[in-house]
Amino acid sequence: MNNYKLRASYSYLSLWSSGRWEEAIKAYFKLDRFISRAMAEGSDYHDEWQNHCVKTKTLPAVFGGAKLNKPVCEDKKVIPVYDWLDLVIKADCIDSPIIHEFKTGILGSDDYVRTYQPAIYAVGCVLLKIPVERVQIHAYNQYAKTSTFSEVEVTESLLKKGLEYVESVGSEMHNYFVENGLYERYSQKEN
Amino acid sequence: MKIIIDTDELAKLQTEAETIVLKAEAQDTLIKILDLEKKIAEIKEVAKTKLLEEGKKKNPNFKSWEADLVRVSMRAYGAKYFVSDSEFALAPKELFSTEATVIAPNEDIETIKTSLEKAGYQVKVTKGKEGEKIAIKRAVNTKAVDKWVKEHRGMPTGIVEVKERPVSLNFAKIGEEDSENE
Repeated sequence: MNNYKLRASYSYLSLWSSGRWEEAIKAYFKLDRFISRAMAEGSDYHDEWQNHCVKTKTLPAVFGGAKLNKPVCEDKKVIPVYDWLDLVIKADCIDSPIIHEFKTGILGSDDYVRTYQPAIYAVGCVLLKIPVERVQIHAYNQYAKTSTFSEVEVTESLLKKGLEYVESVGSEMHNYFVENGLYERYSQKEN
Repeated sequence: MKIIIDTDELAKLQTEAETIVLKAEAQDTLIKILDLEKKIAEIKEVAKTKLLEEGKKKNPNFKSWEADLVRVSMRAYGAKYFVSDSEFALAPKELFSTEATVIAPNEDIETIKTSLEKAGYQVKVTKGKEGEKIAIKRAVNTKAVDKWVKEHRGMPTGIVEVKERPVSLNFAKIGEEDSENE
């Protein structure tokens, strides 16, 4: 009898729900870690923006430079949901009641709004009893040097959808891992 | 601006519309419908102006806002990229297409088509007015350029991004928005 717990994060759930199971398994169990130039570049920008937010208590100038109150950046939270499920969130910046998410690349902020990421992060904050009202996506296109901004209101319906997504995709992943003995096989590499 | 809509009048108008006939008496109902349509369009414009102001207040880079039922979004229209004449020779040819309208001899369509095809041109036959000069139109494949930019981490030489595309603000029920305009 196993008592393994799935540590579900948006990126794993997203890979799994879009049918990219092999990538999801490799990412979850840290079997194959490929970092592209774009990912490395994105990571550099994130480090710079995180430092800026904490140091100056303002958003980076490329995102409008608005004032922040008590920004908490890149703080990884592991939130127990069920005996078989933990939800892991690592928002770029939580300045309650606003979650700020920073993006790089050619997609606009509105492209990210249509994903489950805002809902999942909002669910995480609610479970942690962190007041949250809005999720703001700030996207910087480093090639065109332009930024876009989108906002999602956190409502009961959004939270319900987010939790349902975590539960349904998470249980699929967990059951697959259990049925195929993946926890046993790779548990030492799991995060 | 003050706009008043009488909802009782609206219900009455719907009843009248359901029994409308092609007679002079129907004009009054039709005029009322047209006036109402104009009023709603005016209200939408008022809301759009205010929403744009609110969006820019939230963030100068405002692109969209949404809650459960409605999405407000800014949308750029028109071409995103164009081919630079001065760097045309360097532009990757797979990223755009060129169409030319030519003045041809007064022969039948099939003869002209055959001649052009012999010269190596693909011929697209459409019905339209004749032009007076060679019109050359280049259409940049936006998705291909976006992909190129991502892969090469920069713009391809000869392809230029339009700096200030016209934008419009719209709001719609989620799931009922128009298809993307790019």
